[in-house]
Amino acid sequence: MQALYTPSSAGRRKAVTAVLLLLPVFLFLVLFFVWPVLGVLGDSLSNEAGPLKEYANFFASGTYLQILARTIGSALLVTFLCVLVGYPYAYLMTRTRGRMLQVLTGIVLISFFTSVMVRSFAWIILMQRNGIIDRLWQAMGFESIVLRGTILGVVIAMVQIMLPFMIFPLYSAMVGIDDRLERASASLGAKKWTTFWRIYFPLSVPGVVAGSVIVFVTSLGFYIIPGLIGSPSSQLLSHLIYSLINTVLNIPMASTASVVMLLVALAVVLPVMWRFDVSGNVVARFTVAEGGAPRQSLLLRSWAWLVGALLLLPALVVIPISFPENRSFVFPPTGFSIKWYQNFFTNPEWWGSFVNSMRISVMVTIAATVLSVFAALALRKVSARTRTVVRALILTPRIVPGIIIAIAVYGQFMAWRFSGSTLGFVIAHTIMALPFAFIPIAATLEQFDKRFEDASASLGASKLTTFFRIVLPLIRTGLLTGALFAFVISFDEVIVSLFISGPTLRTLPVQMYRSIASDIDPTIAAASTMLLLLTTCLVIASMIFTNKKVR
Amino acid sequence: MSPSSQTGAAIRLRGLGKSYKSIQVLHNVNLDILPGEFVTLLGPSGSGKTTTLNLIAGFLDPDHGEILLDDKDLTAIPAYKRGIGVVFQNYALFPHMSVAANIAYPLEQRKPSMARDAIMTRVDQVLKLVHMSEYADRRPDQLSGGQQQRVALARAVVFEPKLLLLDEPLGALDKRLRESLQMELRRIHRELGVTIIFVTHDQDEALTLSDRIVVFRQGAIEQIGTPEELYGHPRTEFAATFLGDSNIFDGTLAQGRFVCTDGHFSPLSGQPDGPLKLMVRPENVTVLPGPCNLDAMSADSNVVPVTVEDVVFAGATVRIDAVTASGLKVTARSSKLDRSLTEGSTACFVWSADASRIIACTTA
Repeated sequence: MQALYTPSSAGRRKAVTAVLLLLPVFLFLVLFFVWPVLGVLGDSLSNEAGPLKEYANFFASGTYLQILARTIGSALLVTFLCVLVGYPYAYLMTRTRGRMLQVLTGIVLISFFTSVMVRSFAWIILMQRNGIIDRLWQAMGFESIVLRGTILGVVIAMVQIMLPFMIFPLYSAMVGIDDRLERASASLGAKKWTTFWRIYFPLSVPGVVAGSVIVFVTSLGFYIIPGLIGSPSSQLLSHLIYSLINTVLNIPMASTASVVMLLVALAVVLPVMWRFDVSGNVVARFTVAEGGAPRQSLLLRSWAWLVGALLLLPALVVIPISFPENRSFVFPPTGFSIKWYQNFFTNPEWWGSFVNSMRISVMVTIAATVLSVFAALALRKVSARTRTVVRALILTPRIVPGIIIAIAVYGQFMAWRFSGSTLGFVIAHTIMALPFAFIPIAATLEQFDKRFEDASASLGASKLTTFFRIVLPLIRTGLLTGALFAFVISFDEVIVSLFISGPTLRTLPVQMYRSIASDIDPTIAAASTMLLLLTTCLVIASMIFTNKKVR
Repeated sequence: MSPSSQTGAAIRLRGLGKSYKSIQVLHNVNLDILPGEFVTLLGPSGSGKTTTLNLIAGFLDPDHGEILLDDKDLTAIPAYKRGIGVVFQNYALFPHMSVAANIAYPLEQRKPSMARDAIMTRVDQVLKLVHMSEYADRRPDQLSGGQQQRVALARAVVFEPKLLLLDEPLGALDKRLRESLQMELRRIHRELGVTIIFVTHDQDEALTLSDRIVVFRQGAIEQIGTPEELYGHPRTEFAATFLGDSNIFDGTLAQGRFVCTDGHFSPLSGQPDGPLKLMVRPENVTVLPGPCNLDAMSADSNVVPVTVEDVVFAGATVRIDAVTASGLKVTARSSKLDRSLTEGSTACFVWSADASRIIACTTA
């Protein structure tokens, strides 16, 4: 009898499965992400006077160069401030236990999950003329200060919005530092401060780098805060791109500016991307450690509580201003009524956009989760090099500034007539949600012990049965985390949505943006208050749930 | 369950080979296992024993060769259709299912028509077999290591496989628990009559449990035999040193005499002249204090003068570590402690001709 097995047939079967599982996500990203981004590159080279003419024009313009410098400068400043503000907070998180850790974690999570539009709106209220900051400032005997319309206001608001992106990777790098190393250093005669600089800080550098890259790239292409708080006199690149497209209709120059921004982002990302798992750290897992921890210094604790207040408090300003009698954002509000809440539920602009957002987010959640599960399953079957390439492809949308995805998708979707349709939104949001869904799902699948599958097979279960009865239940936590992130990213997405929303289809964040930009309607405060309550409840509920599971 | 309600399957491995990337981890393994036999695959880590087990279970595909289960070729059959019970090294109990659900799982997979009641009755039966009836509703993480081990065993036998594979199942347990589970395993083997292939690197476990032991070395079978054969008549130096302690002398055979500078050896017959190794187990060596007196001994005796290095009390026996004139380290085991043997004292290792074993000189 001849041996039935040749080495290649088993290997080939495995390879075919891997390819079939990877095909959906690969086609999806190449078609809807890579191709449109290449389209932007093409547009930037389309000047009839020569392919690089548009770039020459860009770099010949003093205004543009000034905007570019201001953009890079403010992104660097935001990044630096985020490290400065976030590092002690993340450090304290790794050095506390029990209730205290839960509170510190909860604050970051609530801040992270609170809609960017809600937080932006809150900052406008705080920073406007006769806003809270202005009044407090005047009460202290200074002259009137209006941060809205200044680069300082933009930076402050961006730091607050980006902080969670810094704290997550910092924490996830720091929590892996064995605290015995510090004790060892102390036993070897090093002072506390020496131990920190010689031992602790070098070990936390991967977290600093990961957080900085994400914050820098996101700040670079952030449109909302510069658009709403900044002023035309202190314009940033994202704003310039937006107006080049929407008001001047200068597509080649908008594309050129986008490519320049992308190159700046890549210049920062590429050198570190291969050394640190930049995107892998975006979503940190929080462990509730048992046991005692030494009490930290008062200075550190005070700093952490100040940062906590910065993360949590600004958004609260939306609550009081959601109940005024009159159509105004004056602080303190006068009178009391719930008519703005009624308006949210009865006005088709508000309620309709909310329903749209829900519908789109649910579809994005399903699409991103399924694609991620397929890809993550396939990654277990391929070589290390293929794994790196596929991971990089799926995570790339995370390191391409939002405004660039926006104009890429906008141009291509117009051509394909997806723009303004539910399909267009779902595709665009899925691109952006994929990295967030993929990271926790791939991480849990990576840790998943292959022996469970072998055991299931030895007990007579087919591959499919094993997947549904053993694998799926065991990766549930990662799956739910991924799905939750996908939902939130989609529900909160505004930059791309602003570009592709049409007159008939608006999502809630777009509606909020338009409302802030155009009129004084306290309905946005009512909507913000409800979103704030919803996220807070969700975060607290999920923390109670995971905490129970730990025990 | 009545004793021997099942009969085990016969397993034949024919020219089995496997490599990862360019590294050949298994070379041409041939092995015949009888129905109902308890066979242990023994060897250091990386010797190919676990790879062999994974090939039989179907978790890996062989590069060449075939696996015959009762004369049926398994190589093209996926793991889930092979009907072989497996107990994993770290048990691989499904953490999200209760003990009962874990054990019911294979019945649900293999016998979709089986009624819930029948499944639960069968689960109870098997739990009784492993003395775990009270734990049916527990989750795996609420059980101790030994209890998890019993559940893993119950899950692997509940569907009455004809062949049971155990991959170092006792490795993670402490000595006392390991010994009690070894006895348990022997009992279950007797009661079920199933063929068992057991992988371990623990030589005592192999000697205690097995009908036959297969010694693996660097991806190939070194020697197959009953525990008595392997211990009493190892064919190679590797088998001799891996299974039990041994003293090995290098020398040459010339005209029926083993010549070695370390001492005086008894005549050997039936061997061609040439280089040779001679092995003696420490417990077969008698230690006489003082210098060796060749005249007082029979010509059949093996006599090696030594200097005592250490005398170690090891519970039931006393171990005497010594060194010969050429610097070879040798060991003897005795049941009595002789007070005149101290570090640095001269002594004489003596054993009778029938305790010597000739070992093939492999060109390693």
